[in-house]
Amino acid sequence: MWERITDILYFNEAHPLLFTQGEFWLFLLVVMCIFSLIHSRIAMRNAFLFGMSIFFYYKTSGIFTLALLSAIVVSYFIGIAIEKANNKGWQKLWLTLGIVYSLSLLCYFKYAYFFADVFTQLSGNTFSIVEQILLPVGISFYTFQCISYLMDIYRGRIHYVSSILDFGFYVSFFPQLVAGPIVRASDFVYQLHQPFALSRRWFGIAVFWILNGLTKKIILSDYIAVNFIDRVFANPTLYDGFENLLALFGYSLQVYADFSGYTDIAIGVALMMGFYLPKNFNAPYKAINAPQFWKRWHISLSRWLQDYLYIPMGGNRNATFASYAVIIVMGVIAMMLTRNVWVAIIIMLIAAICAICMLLKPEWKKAITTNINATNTMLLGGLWHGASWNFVIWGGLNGIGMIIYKLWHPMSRWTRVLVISLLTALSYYASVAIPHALWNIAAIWLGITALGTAISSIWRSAGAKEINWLYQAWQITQTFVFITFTRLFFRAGSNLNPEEANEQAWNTATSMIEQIGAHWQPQLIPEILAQHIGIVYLIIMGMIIHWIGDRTKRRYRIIFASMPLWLMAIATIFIVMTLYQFVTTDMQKFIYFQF
Amino acid sequence: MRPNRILLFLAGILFSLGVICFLWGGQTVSMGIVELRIPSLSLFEHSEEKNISAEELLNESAKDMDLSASLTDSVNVDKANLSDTLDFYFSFMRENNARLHFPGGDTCTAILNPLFESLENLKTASNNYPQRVHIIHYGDSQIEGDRISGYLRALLQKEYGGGGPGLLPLVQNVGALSVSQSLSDTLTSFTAGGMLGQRASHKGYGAMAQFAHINTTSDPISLVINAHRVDGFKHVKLFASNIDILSARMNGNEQCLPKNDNIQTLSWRLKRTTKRVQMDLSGTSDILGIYIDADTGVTVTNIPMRGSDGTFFTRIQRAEMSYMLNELNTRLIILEFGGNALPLMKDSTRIEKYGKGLARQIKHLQAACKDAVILVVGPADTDIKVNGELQTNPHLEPLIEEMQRVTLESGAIYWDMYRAMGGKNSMKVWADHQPAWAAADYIHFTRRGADQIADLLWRSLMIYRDYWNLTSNVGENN
Repeated sequence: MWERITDILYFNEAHPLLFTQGEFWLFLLVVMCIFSLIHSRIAMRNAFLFGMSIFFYYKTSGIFTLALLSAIVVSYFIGIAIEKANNKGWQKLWLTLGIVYSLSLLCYFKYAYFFADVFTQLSGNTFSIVEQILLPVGISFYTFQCISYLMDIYRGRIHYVSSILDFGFYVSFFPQLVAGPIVRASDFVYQLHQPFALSRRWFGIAVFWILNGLTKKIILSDYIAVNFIDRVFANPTLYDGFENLLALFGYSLQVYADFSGYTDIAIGVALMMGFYLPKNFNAPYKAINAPQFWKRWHISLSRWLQDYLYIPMGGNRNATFASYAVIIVMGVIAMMLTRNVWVAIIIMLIAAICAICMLLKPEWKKAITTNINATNTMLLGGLWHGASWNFVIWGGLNGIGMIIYKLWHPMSRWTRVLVISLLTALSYYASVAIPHALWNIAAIWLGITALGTAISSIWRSAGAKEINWLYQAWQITQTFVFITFTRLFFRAGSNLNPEEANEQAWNTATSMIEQIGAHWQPQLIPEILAQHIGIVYLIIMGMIIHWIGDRTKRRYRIIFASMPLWLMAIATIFIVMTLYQFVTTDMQKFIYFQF
Repeated sequence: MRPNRILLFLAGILFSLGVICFLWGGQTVSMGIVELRIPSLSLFEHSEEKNISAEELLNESAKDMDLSASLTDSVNVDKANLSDTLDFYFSFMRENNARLHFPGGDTCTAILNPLFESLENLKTASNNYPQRVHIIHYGDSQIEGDRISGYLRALLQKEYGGGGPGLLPLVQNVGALSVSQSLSDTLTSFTAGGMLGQRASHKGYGAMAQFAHINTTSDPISLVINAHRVDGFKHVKLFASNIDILSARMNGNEQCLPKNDNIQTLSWRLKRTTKRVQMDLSGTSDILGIYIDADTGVTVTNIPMRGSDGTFFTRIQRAEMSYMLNELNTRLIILEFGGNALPLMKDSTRIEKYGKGLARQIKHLQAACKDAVILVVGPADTDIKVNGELQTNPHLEPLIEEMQRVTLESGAIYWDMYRAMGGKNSMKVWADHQPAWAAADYIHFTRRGADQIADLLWRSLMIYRDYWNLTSNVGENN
């Protein structure tokens, strides 16, 4: 018995408190027991929730709780110092100190392997101390929250939080602590002083979000990952092109279901305590272009990067010192990761060409600086996920996707047809002249795009009535395929031992490209589909549900939320029992825990 | 809505779930065509775990293995230790988790002697007197990508010489890290077992349990083979049957086979050792396999059959299979199956039925290749959720017992992979190892894990080899 109690109270690396485990719901029950007694005493409520959040984090990360506490204490006092500083100079100094501290913490835990690798390369000595460094769960999320808090005080958008317990509660609120959303102080701090208020319908919505999140995580994420996707990504060369492609599309669904599933549960649990967390996803695979995708995917990170990185760098106004500094830093990092000086030279060359263009054609300056800042933001966003070449490529591809869209969008119909046809011809020529799987993929994808663009242009030129839904479906498909392709690099770099992440991620990504681009056995497709029929059904079903119209979704959400409580309870029990049928192995950690 | 009502709701749900789990936990409720599993209360507890690392589990099996080589060396010097040395071997053969099980009892190892003799003879072989030994490794998805076979091949070729990957199909249904193949045309693969490939209208699959049919008169079909992680090769042999006419060109050397329904071969000896070869095929024929090796030494063929339970051999006509196995001097046939049978093993009747099927396969292979010894490698640990608790599939141990029983009764050798890797719940420990030795499905090994298990099998075989060496030397000296 005593052993069981200590097991509940102490940190066990193998058993963090996960939303998908019974222990978490027992924990929530205990929290709600005390919460219901003290909810009207606001200071006590906040202090209690802060304590519970720290316990929750301790159960997930053990000794690393100290890193969280240090971030809270440092940011709290620097926040006060910024606001009380006499002039802008002192404010800037305090802000810099706060940001440097937060980023140092993040860099130490997250990029130590990378820096050790660089050190080893430069000095020839092994920097073995980093072998013991583990990444504290959720460090990227709470670090960004602390930075946004300091910057918002500096900008005068908010006042500092007077109580350290309140501030600690804001940073560490357990539903969103380990995988977001990244909550801005301006969106949350005002709630700290409000009494508990939750309508009956909003309670129903909270239950809905929790069940929705659990369904996404257990069925759409864990089940298809364990039974198919992880196997393919572990050994891509054992599977043919079709299976690799299926796994890649499956992963697109998995990562969405996993991450948004976590957010749904977090929002639901927070609502039960009367707190509103911001929306982190807005049906991202309904996006009709790459920029729109980033307004729908991981919204809290996109907004954070926009407000605290893109705009300070100059945004769409001009390029600043930071813009060029980032280019140089990214060049150096790319060189280190690839161990190839030419990569850095090419990046610098592109930057130099951009600079020359701006000098020669001042009217291009705005467009070029906007794109440089956007690409820098995406590259740093990629690097935020980890110091691996794959994450940089993933960020870079997304940046390029946005630039291409910006160039593509204003083109006339026939210019588009011409450009895409030319690119198709070029990639086809490349696939013949320099045989490589990547050219094959490019030729096929561009070919399909060219065909679609031509049909659309001919249709419109003929004066026929535009079929909106079809055109929108075409745009959504194009965006989804592009985003899925970038995910290849993202997934290949995930869940790896940091020491070998770079090499292994690169091998996985290149093997998958090779298989998808050059190793197809069409005659086996029926058998492959039959072999994975359950997985295929789940992927199709998941995507269909995702693409259901917002109005329909809202309607069934409200129907659920309006149910009598007894019926809602029965439905909840039924759903939980159904979800259990899909649990085949141990519960998998949420993908974004690693970031 | 007040917090106490929320608490009541939450408590009500958890209490109801608790009552359901308490009353019906672990049972299966049938609802029409759907069977609903009810979790037990252990869902709220951690499953019982082995408080042991994967290395420790392995060491349980491997602890005595390193002693073997030093003992056999020292015995030549000091015969006084002979009795102790023999005791060591007998102790290993009777107790070690990674030991082999033999038909006449665990110490009746004579069945392996012809294999060791033929391998030992390779050490005296030369280019003028080439000798070859072929080992064929059939298995399910656990050996896909040349896993386990590739590891054994590398060590065997290091010890006894040799090169090349052994037999390869014309159509590579499952990729392999050691060899990549590209074919200029899309051909259908006909397989006797597994999920990939179609079943043929006849039984002439050959020893690879698969073939591809070519039918081309104008443009030849071009096959390019690139070996990556195997030593270079110098000798290529093509097996074909149901030939209308077949022409094969390699390195400018074209050979033809006239119409013949029986199995035929074409051979090429390359001028120098290589890792890449291109073959252009035209005509109409079934291609049963392409064998690639060095002039002399040992080769290990990897034949993965995804989704198969290993009961497909009796679907293969014996004549072609026998011809290929004997032509290549096959001395060891490894059958690594059982994992795909497990989900269907709901009761003892099904387990017995599977056992009978396995016995028929062994007999079929024994009849096809009388010189080869058959080694059945049982399934690895497979962990599933039972009543909310992750544990070894409850049907695994009875299945393993039955497989071992019928294997020994059929005159073959059995290696218990499940016990060798650590027994009950060991797959979870392997999956938790950093870096992972098993996948999160708790069924498949990762490449690292496959190397570990292959190493264990290799070292176990070497113990028996050392024992054979020792007893042969003692016999000669006496």
